[in-house]
Amino acid sequence: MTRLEDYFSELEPPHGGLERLRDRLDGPPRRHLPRTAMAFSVAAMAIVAGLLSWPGTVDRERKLLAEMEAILMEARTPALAIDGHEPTELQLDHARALVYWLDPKSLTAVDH
Amino acid sequence: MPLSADELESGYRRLEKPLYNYLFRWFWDAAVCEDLIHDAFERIWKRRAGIDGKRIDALVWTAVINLARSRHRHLQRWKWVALPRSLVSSANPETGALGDEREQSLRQALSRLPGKAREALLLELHAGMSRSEIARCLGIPEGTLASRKHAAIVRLQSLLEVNDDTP
Repeated sequence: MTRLEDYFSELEPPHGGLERLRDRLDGPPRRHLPRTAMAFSVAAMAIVAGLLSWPGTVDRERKLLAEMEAILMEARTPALAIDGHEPTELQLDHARALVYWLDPKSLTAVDH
Repeated sequence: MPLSADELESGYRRLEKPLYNYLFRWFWDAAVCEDLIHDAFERIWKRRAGIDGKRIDALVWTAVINLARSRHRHLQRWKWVALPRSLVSSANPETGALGDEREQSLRQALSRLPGKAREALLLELHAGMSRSEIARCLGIPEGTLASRKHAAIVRLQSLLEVNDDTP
């Protein structure tokens, strides 16, 4: 039966490790290009995603506004008018009846 | 007295193999292991002015443990975009066919251990330091280190279905 220690055999590291370390220490400082490149990629993706979603957002907003306007137009009560003339004044008389006053100038001869 | 180039190089010769064995059981990639070892020695070298040559072993181990933790966390975070196994150079050139089979089993079993238990076991196996030195590197009491190692061995034995001989 296999023992646990059989799984942990001693491994030899790749040859030339010390020479590569010397080269690294003697060489110019390493730049973390992958990290910088990744940051730029993420930023670029965010900008592209934002640009792609922008027209969609505007369209959606415009559509919602149009729908809301249609609803408000339908809900709006028609203007009060008598024979097509808007009253200039409204009064409540003694009998609690509503009295409409029209501007005579707005009335034509036919109306009279 | 600041760390000299000779002390750094002799430290590298002395620690390269144990560090490599420790790291390989985390990353299974020779290039990654060497890169982390070099990162640790580079850090030590940059701070050589304040480093005593006699303390280099503990400092290198501490640096390697921290770098390994950081790299492992990074890999765990990005494993959902991992390359197919066929494209990843995971094999150690030193291992043969039987070694590969055992390595795969060990790799799977170790990946199922809690990180702290795995760390304790691998350090006791490969660091070549006393338990108190390892505990100091990890910043934990010796008893905690011993219990983590024990938990790791018990779990590994059940995962690998091996007998009770502890390494």
